Amino acid sequence: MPFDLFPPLGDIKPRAFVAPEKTVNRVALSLGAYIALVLYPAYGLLRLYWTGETTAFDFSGISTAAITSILFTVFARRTMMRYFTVGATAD
Amino acid sequence: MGDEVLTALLESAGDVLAEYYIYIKFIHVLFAAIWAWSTAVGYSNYLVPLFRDWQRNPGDMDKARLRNWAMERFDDGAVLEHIAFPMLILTGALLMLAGGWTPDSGWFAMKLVLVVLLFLPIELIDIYLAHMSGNKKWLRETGQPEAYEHTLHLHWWFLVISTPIVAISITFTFYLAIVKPF
Repeated sequence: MPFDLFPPLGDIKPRAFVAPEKTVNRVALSLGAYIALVLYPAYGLLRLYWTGETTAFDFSGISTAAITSILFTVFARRTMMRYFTVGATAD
Repeated sequence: MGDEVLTALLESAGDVLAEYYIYIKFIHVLFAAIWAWSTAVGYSNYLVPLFRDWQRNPGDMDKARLRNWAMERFDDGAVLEHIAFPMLILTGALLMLAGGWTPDSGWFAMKLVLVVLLFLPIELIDIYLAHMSGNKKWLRETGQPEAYEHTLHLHWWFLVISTPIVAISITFTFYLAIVKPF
């Protein structure tokens, strides 16, 4: 490619990018779990510490967190697979 | 005693800053926009298509050069985002004092959790990969070809994993800040 703007490869040896579906599934599950087990409980505990309120841990709050977590897992997996899966033609 | 002094100091700071609340908010929103969208066009229209094009044929050296060029330019392009983020934290803290916001408000508590447990770790990793030891131009110019290829793959993993996260969480954070739904 006779264009000086592009950096020379030099000794860089490009190797194929590998993103196994199994790993993507695990990442998506971890992200969903992070919402359910870290982010939402942290919110609930902060509210509990600051205001003494426990409403974040009632049925409605926990169901919302669980549903959000599941929907996000599905969305994250779909999005990541879209970026990692390459078809035969250019975008 | 220490707590009382700190509380008095914070209250005084809040009183002084309250007069400038709307100006601080303007700066905060400006940096929020820069942080949220400054890399969007480069990512979606340059980095992703060139990277995916290379993925179809990893042995094509011309495509590999294009991939490297896009990633190196993206490292530089993230500078705006990484200047905006600390400014957001700073102006956010000032707004908290000036507006008297506390986790009494659910939306604020949720926003704090997202900033500390989501955005902060993401930005720290991003800063490391784009500007510190993970900077691709630096790795190339200092003769570290293996580290270059390894970091580039790592950066691509990071970008793809963080794409669904930021797409939802940034939108949600804007919603929390503007609508204040709970």
